[in-house]
Amino acid sequence: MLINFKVKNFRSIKDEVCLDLLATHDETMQLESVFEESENPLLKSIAIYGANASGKSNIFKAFAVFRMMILESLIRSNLANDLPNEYFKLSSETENKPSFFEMTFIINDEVYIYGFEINRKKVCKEWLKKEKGNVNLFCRDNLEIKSNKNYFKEASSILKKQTSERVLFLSVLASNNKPLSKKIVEFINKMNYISGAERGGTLDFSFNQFLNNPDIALKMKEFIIRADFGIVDIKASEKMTLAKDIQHIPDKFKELFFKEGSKIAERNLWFFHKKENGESVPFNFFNEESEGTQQMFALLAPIIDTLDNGKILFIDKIDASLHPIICQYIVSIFNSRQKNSKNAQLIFTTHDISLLKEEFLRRDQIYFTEKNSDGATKLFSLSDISERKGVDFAKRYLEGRYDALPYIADFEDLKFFK
Amino acid sequence: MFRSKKQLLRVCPKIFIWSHTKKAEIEYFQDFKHCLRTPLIQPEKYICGTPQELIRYIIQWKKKEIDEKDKDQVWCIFDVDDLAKQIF
Repeated sequence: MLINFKVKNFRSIKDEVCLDLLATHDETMQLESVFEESENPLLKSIAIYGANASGKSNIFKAFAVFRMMILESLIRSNLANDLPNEYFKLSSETENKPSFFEMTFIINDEVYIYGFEINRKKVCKEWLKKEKGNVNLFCRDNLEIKSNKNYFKEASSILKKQTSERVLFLSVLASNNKPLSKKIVEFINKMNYISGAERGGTLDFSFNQFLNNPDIALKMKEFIIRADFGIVDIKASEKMTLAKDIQHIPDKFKELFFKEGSKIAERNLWFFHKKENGESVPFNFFNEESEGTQQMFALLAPIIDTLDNGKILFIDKIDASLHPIICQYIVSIFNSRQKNSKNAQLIFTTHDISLLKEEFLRRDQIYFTEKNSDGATKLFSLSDISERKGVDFAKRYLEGRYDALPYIADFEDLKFFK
Repeated sequence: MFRSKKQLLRVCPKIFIWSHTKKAEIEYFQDFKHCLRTPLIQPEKYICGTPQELIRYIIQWKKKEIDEKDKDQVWCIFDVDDLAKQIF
């Protein structure tokens, strides 16, 4: 389970920001969204609000880089391109300095802290600690790796020597089947990230799950039918077809990209709507369904997979094309004890202010991003603000009482002069 | 272990600036608001005859709309030259 994620000097993030999933101690807030693991009260979901370009998505991009480095630094080690050290560009303090990433999490009832710093050419620092007793399991300074001989025997000197400057030591240990490192890498691998801009990969995952995993398919169908998209049934099929026989690919394109006789998978996804006489009418998902239905279908398999397996899911712009009621429903499922019995965690960004209510989110579940005068992202929670109880958070947010709002002079004039 | 409390941030208080005329003085505050780029300054108009009328209106409005705990401020602005003409 995830406790926190910290980032420093990455894109618009200059000073350290910490996305903390620990709950605050306040018995007046509802407890349904909190679960306990290894004596840590953890939140099942976190929402991040903020103006456009305030840095919400950069926190998620930082997570994507953290995950990519751990899972792929070994296979990418021979590539000539730079490491993803996208430092904060608006200050000479941070220019060309390493980016910092650190995560605190629970595996088998133990709390671990793992992090690293990278510049464009190499891993500068890397560390793994056990929180209990504050034990350093290993720490790395460039190519020099020191490990704790009593508590972390899996760090052999041969593997230390094998670790090149662009590769994380943790990835090397995991690829050599060292038990704790492997568990950590598996844990990170089970955390998924859905970008706000590119949902093609997510749709691909959902389509494959719908086609090949009957359990998930049934749940996806149930969700779509219940969520009032006006759909009564869904059917999917995939068959290998000769590229030349597919009608909706232009001939010129076929000539350029497909060899004679090559086959590609032709996918069909039909959503059935009810006609007035009760008959079901098929609609082609890819060109006849609404964008909202398409987005919902794409998000469903990762959401169900996360809930069924107690995983962690980051969704950037959860409300893209979705009705606020649908977003409220998704968040309520994650916060529910009954529907999220495995304590899956959801971290999402949104502009949907209808969720800014204590019945959906506790104050510690609500985060805001804002840009400082130097252009750097600041992250804070509503529980960091001395807000009165029982007020309308959405109204107060739009009044500017928490900052984190866009300011449009022309709009303020329109309101003033009307 | 619960989340440790960082420095507690204050809810931002608002400043409501009222005028009883349509004249430019209240618009200066709108420009001032743009300079600071903050929605927390809110110029408002209540068109009425005298400052007294405005004050009576604001007292009622304040009771209904403002919670003392927010530490909001309410200003009333008057053009003194106009006032002198009206009263004397």
